[in-house]
Amino acid sequence: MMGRSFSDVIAMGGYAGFVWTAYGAWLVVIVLNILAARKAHADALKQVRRRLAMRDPANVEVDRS
Amino acid sequence: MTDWTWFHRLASPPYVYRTAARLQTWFTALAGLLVGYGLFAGLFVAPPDYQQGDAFRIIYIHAPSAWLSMMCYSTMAIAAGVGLIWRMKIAHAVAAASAPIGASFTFLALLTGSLWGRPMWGTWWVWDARLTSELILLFLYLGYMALRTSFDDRTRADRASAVLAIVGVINLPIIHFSVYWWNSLHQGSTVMKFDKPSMPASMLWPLLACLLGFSFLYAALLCVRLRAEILLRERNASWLAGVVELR
Repeated sequence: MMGRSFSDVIAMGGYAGFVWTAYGAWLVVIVLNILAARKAHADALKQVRRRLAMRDPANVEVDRS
Repeated sequence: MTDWTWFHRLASPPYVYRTAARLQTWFTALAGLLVGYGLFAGLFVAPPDYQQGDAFRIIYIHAPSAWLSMMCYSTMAIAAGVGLIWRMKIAHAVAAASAPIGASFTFLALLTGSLWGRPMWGTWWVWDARLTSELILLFLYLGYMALRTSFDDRTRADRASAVLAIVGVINLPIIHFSVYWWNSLHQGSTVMKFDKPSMPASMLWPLLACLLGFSFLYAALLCVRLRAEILLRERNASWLAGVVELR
């Protein structure tokens, strides 16, 4: 059972501006948090991959001169 | 004899990396369920407050953010202390991973608090004890992160920033008790007190779900950032070859 009608929820008893701005800002910061953490991990992984590739004997150039 | 193997496993980067990857999925799912329920019930089901009307609903994001701002700092300071005392690299990695998450929750606590204060107190901001000490917490996080980036050597960054994190702990009891020690516009505790929570169940359960859900969200974010920290610290270690290929 829903306690309140949809229009009541949107209107927030006259406090809609404050309540929805707070929830909107919350959502933005949470999404940025998730994206930033994933990017930090992806960047670290890229760096490790590059290092491993450099150490791979198949990629080491042999000086034949 | 006490079995200390768990302590040694916790100090092993490959073990922690893999465990964090596994836990991350569970933490994310739990966070989604709890925050989903909490916000739905808080916005759609809970009745309006008899004094504050619908403005009180900001509590469902404000209180968990404020709680997390302090919990992230505690985690950071304890991990930094463990890192200093036992020279445990993983502990320093946990502390470093915690800081940006904690800073973002502190920012949210201040911002949502301001949006709640304006209609209830008639002002966006006052320099009272609770608000000021929370702002200092944000500066502590920012100082901690700035200090870390100012060292090229990771070991020195770990030690110097750990000292700052530990000294900053003094701010935590000040934040918590500020509303009792000083005259404050900020209302007293609703849940975290030695008494029955001063809220009816239909308002309280969504709040508790949000508190727990935000905590799991922090745990999930910490897992991701901790894995990034471990990769950077262990970039020359041979175990990484297995991880990077397997993914």
